[in-house]
Parts: sequence; structure tokens; C-alpha cells
Amino acid sequence: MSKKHKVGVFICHCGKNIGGYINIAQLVEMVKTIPDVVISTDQKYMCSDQGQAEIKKALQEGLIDRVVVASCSPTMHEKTFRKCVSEEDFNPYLYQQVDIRENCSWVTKDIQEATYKAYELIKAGVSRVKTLEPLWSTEYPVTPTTLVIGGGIAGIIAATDILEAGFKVVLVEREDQLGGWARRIGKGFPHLTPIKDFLKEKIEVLQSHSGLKTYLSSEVVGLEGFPGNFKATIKQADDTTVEEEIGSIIVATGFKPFDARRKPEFAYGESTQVITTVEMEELLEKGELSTNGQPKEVAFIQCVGSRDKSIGNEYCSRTCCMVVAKQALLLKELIPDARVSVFYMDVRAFGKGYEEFFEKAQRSGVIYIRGNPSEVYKSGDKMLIRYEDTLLGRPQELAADLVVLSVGMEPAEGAAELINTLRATADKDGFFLEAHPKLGPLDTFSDGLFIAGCCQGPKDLPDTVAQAHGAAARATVYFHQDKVIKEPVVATIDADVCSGCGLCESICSFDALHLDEKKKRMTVQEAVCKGCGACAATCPSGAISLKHFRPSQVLAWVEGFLS
Amino acid sequence: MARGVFREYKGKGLEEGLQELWRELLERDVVQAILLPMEVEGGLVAPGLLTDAARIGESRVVSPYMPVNTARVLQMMTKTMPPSEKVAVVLCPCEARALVELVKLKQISQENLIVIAFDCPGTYAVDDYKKLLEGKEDPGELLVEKVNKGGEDAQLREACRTCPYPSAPWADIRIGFLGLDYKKRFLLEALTEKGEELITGLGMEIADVPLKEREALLDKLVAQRKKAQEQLLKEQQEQLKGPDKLLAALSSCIRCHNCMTVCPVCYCKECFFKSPTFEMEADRYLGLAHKRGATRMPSDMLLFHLTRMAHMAHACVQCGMCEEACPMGVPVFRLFKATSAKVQDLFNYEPGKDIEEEIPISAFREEELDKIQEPKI
Repeated sequence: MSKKHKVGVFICHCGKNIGGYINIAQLVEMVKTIPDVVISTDQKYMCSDQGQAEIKKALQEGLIDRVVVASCSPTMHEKTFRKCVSEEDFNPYLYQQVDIRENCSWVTKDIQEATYKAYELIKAGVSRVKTLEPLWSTEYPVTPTTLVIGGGIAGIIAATDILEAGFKVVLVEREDQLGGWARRIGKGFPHLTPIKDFLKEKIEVLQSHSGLKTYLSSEVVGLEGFPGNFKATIKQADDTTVEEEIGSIIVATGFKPFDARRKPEFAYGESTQVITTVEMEELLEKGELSTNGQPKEVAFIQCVGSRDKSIGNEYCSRTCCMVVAKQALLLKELIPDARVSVFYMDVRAFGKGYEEFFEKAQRSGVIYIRGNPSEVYKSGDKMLIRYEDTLLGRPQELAADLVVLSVGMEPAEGAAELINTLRATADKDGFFLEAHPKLGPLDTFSDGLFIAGCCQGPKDLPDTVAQAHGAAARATVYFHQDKVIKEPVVATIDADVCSGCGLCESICSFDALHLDEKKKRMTVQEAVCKGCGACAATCPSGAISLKHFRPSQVLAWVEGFLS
Repeated sequence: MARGVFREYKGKGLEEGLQELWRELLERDVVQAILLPMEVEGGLVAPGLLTDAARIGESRVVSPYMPVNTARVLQMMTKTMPPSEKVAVVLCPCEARALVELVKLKQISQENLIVIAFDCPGTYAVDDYKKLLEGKEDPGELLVEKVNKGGEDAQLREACRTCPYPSAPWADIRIGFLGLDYKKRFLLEALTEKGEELITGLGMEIADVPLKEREALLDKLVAQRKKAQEQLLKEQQEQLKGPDKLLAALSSCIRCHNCMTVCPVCYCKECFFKSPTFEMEADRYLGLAHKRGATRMPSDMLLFHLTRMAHMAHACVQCGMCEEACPMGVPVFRLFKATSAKVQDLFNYEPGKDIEEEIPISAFREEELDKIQEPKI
């Protein structure tokens, strides 16, 4: 027979968030009738010092041995209350949060119904909390080295920050030199300063640090271990592999420009009079344009490979509007009597100084035509652009000596393989997926793995540099702590029941399960396990259970609702 | 067309012809043991592990009776450690198919095993087989002859009458005697490298053998069986559809777990239903009773069958051993046949067909389960 527990239930008003939609006074009385509940009380804000003090007082006086807080979602304050109870030397895993805000008060109109629902939720939480067992976190040492994948501007900035903080960096670049796409940019927008000078300086600063180990012409082909203690396999140019021990990873692998051949209607690759913005950048940089036949009529076509459902890229590449404004402006400066037109859907000039820069391009005489070009074809020594002027609603044609396709950004070559190797997640377009679009833009779903720059999606230099600085800070958090703390909510195996069939191993997304071939039993690498519970659901024998979510604990929850 | 060789055995029965093969395998030391059906006391048949050529006369491969699914025996035999000597395992198609599933689940080790699957015209339930044994002629040879002439025996187990695998889809070696001049020779067909080694180890040469007649007969037989299968699925839909009919069908279940014990693909070391999870306090039973006014005891009968179905439906080879083992006449085979047909169709998965193919629940495909997905907008 299980021992009798003394459960304290602390109900939060969350100001009017809960208090305004639930009859708290009535709820407190209802909860008192739940078996084994010895305290049922309420506070304006349970998370406030005053609220937490009430929980602590009940623990100090030894009135309760299980704690339930009925408030917001556990995502919001579970950590707060776990910390609160552990300050009283109370095991934080004997605490249960019941969500009566997101799951109840915010979504239930009728106050009586909401009150009853909150009561049911608390009743289930009380039933579960009585089955919980104390658990203890584990600490692991950390290798204070970050693996930075990609030696473009994002990788360079992130690596430099980490080195300057006193940690080590292993930098892996696929090409035979550092710099990435920034090497191929002439002047930057909106200030028209040369990127190369800035890049050269950044590379010099980076290379002045002794804690840097650089692998050029190399790629990361394997990763094992867990946050703080990874082992990466790096394949070098001569096909030999080396292993490096690292504590965290920053992916900064950038992008590849859209291949304009995938829009055959624009005749790219068929005529030398059709080029991309990437090639235009080179021509402008080398100063080859004005001596090379002096095009009098130049037409830019925006959004080639972006915002285009037909080729599968629905997203905006975010930089092309400004790239075109810059190139058109420079062209006008180079060949003042040239007629420079830009076909656009709408102009996205969102950055600091971008709108002003766009206006400057317009004032310089660049003609912006709101229109959808449908075809580019050769006619005599000109290229004819057939388009619909979407302001006039009429089909039109324009002749040009040179057509420049403003190509968007796509995931870098090999991004899918790298995502696989690192056990990261791809978004719908094949870029690295961030953990949260707003609250975790540099994190991934894999602990210890961070992202910066265009590997996450198209962005300009200021955003890339900002992300690189941010990722460097994120990647070194463990290093400052000198240890990784692993939550104890992990899978555990009953070796007597395990049949060693390997189904769980095949579905584990984190590579945390490995079959002991000799004993024919599964083993869990607790440091790697994320506690998702997929293995426990897969095991037909019930040999795996997830600590804190054991079948008995989940069943008690369900039975709490049904009783 | 197949890669293999014919073995001649004029003037003897098929069983004797096969026995010569077993003898040669042992005497030439191609294998050191053979696991195959052998006659036991009282004339019935059971899997036996044979090492002494002197006892080969007891082997009964042609016998149309299947006491257990031998894949289950192989799990017992090889899981902890594979044999150190070479063992030929002689299986009928549903046993070979169960073996494939258990290999995928790491319950059978293929190391030092050579899988030989023979043609199976069908098997009889134990009581029917006992009666047939009283007759003058060998029921096995009679059945082979009947099926070879295009006939079908209505007395065969329902699982066999509706089985579309008279020949195994995967094995190292297939032994064929359907659609062939079986009184003179049978076919040894190599499907894997191991199989080829076995044939060459016997001093025979592998060649391309034309099998037009055999293919025609097998096609016809499979078509016949599939028709019977469809009929059965249709009947099942009528007889067992809906919760009331399902509960009525299961109502005689005494929760003896026999169906689980004999199921070749039900591989857990300790069944969840024998675990402490179901050792409930009296008050929890009382709670159930209070809720409903009364509750059937023990209370997990339906859950047991549903759970087994959830776990096994994708891997069920439809051998029907479950129903043979049921002392209470629960239509376990029909339930499993119908459910597995749907599940396997959904995942486009045929258990036992391909030893390399991943089990549906451990394989991730971006495009799957479109039959149960909401239509894409």
C-alpha cells in the first residue's frame, strides 16, 4: 500500500489572467476536498516573492511533502517553482505544475465551466504528483572549444569572439581560403564602403589568435557525443579524416545563389546578354563593364528564384532589392547615359538606411517598373523582355543590351547532408531550422548546436554579423559554467524486460540508445537523451520508461481526471 | 527462370528423395546439423535438431502438419548466441517469413544458419491430421499430388487455404516440388550467396533453370488462394465489424495467453500483460466496478488483444498458429488476418518478403500513410 502524501496546492490569479475568468475562492474550496490535499490557497501572483514565500513556509513547517502550483504553462514558470522548492532542500521533481491559464482561463468563456475545468486539471495534477519520485540532475565536464563550420563572414566573426573570450576554436572551411561570399562582394549597401578591406581586417584579427585551429578544404562528416563533450570527424582535402573534441558547435555555412537556369524563360545560359547579380557584382568590381561594349540599355529582373511558388521558393531572399539598387546606382555612375530599368513586385527596403538608399537609386535615374516579366528572348542584337505592367495592367515589351537576373538565396550545397550529420532540423525550404523563430533564433533543437547567418535563411550583412556575435555568446555559455547540467528526465531501461530488438534505437532522433550486442540489451547514454519519450512509446515490451513520465505516473494523471 | 539445379530421385517417394539430400548435407559436412520436422512418438511431427545421419529416416518435411512456427524455435536457439556449427533450417514459407521478421528484430541471428524453405501445399489442424494418419496412404504425398493437379483440399487449415505464399519469398535455398515432375525430381533454387555455396558444396553445378510450368501452376494456386483470402476478409467484415461483434467474438477468451505464446512474431521476453503494470490493487478494480456498476474480471482481456494487434499487425505472417492454440474457439486468426491485411496495405509492407526492408515503424518516409491523411489543400 502506498504511503499517504500531504499535498499543498497553490493557486495563482495571475492578476486578472486567471482571476478574471475563474472563481478562485470557489476553486480553493473545491480543491480542499481532493484526497490528500492538506493546503489549498491562492495568491495574486504565485511567481512573486510573496507567492514563493508561502510555498517555502509550508515546506519549512513540514506541512507538505508534495507541491502543486496551478498557474501558467510549465514552459513559463516550471523552472521558477522548481528552483523555489529546491531552495528549501526539497527535490524539484516532487513538484507538479498545473496549467490553468493557457489550458483553461484564456480559452474558456463561461466562468463556472472554467472553474470546474481548473478543478479537474488540479485533481489530475494532485493524483500525478503523489506518484512522482525524487530525481537528481547530473553534471558533466566541458571541453571549452567551439567547432565553427563555415569560414565566411559569420564564421569569422563568431570564431573571433570566442577566441577573444579566451576559449578555443576549430574552424572548418570547405574552400581553400576564408571569406566566403563576402569575398565576392564589391561595395556594401547602403554606405558603398568596400567589403574587402573590412573582411581582410577581420581575417587578420582572427588569425592572430593562438587558440585557433583552421581546416581549409575540409568538411565535417561526423558528430557524436553530447553537449560539452562532442567529437567531430573532419574530412580533409586528401580524404583523410581527423577527430576533434569540442564542446559546442556553430553552423555558419551560408547559402548558394539560385541557379537561374531553373527559370529557362529568362534565357540565362543561352545568351551572354543575360547575367545574374552575382556576375554583375564581379563585372562592377573588376571595372570590366564600361570597356566591354558599354551597355546602353540595362534591365534588372527582381525576385528570380524568390517569392516564386512555381520553383518551390515561397520566401523572400531579403537582400536582392538592395543589391539591385546598389548595382543599378553604380551602373548609372559608371555609364551616366545608360537607361537602367528594374522590374519589381514591390521593393523591400527594411534595414537601417535602406529606404533612403533606395530613394537615392531612384533619384539617380534608375527606372523602377512594377511588372512581371514572363519571357526574355533574343531579337536582333537586343534582348526583348516581355512583361505585364501591373500598374497599367497591360502586356509590354522592353529591349535591353544586358539583362541582369536578381537571383535569390538557397541553402548551401550539401546543407541537407550537414543537417543530417549534425542531427539538426531543416525548415521547409532546406535551411537550418531555429529552435524558436522569435525566442531562440540562434539555437537549434539539438543542445550545443547553434546557427548564424544565411544557413538559417537569407539575410544581409548586418543581420549576419549580429547573429554571429550572438551565436558566439550562446555557444560559450557552457564554457563559462565549466560544466553542463543534465536534467534527469531521461529514458531508463529495465534490462530484464528488454528483448534487444533495437526498435527504439532506430527511432531515437538523438542517437542516445545503443544496443549492447553481447548482452542483447539496449543501453541509454543519459547525457545525450533529451527525454522525448519516443522510445518508451515504441517499446512493445514496456522495457523503456521515461523518468518522471513512467507509465504509472501517466496513468495516475489520467485516472485523476476520471476519478 | 531461376538459378538452381534439379535433384533426381527416381523410383522413391518425395520424402525419401529429400532424406537423401539431408543425408548428403551431413555426410559431406556441408552442415553439421539440420533443424527440420521429424516424426515424434505417436506419429505426429515436431521440429527436431538432427546431427546423426542415422536418424534421417525420422524426418517428415512433406508432412502437412505444423505444430509450432519453427521461427519461434530459432529465436530460442540463436538469440543469446548463434551456433558455432553450420545449421540448415528447413522451413515452410510462413516459418521462413516469420524468420525474416525476427531477424529484422534481432531475435534470430543468421550467423551459421542456412535457411531452406520448401514448397507448402498447406497443413491440417491436429485432429484432422491424426485422422488422416490412420489412412493407408501418406497424407503428405497425397496432398502434393492433389495440389500439383490443380486441386485444393477444403480440409486444410483456414490459414493455409487463404495463404498466397505456397513458395517462400525469401530464403537462402528454396526447395520446389509444385508444378514440377515431382515424382522424379525436385528443384534446389539458390536465392542468396549462402544458398549457392550450399549447392556447390554438394558437388552440383548451378545453372539457369527454366520453370514455365512451375510458374504457371504457382500463379494459378496463388490466384486461387487470394480469391479465398478476399472471401474470408469479406466474411470477416460481416462477422466481426463493430465493437459489439468484436466483443462477442472475444467473449470466450480466458486470457490464457496461448495465442501470444505460439505467435512467432510476438517476441517480447516478458509480456507487458504479465508485468506488474497489471497487478492492480483491489481498490482499483473496485473503482472500475463502481464506475460501471459491474466489471468483467479479469479486466484486461480486450486490452490484451488490442495491444497484441497494435504491436504485431505489421509483422503478422498469418500462419494461424494463434487460432490452433486457442482452447476456446476465439477467431484470433481471422481478427489478425483482417487487421494485418489493412495495416500492411497501409504501409505497403509484406512481412517476410525482403530481409533488407525496414520495419515500417522504424522507417521514416516523407511520403507515407497518404490513405489516412487529410487531403492536401
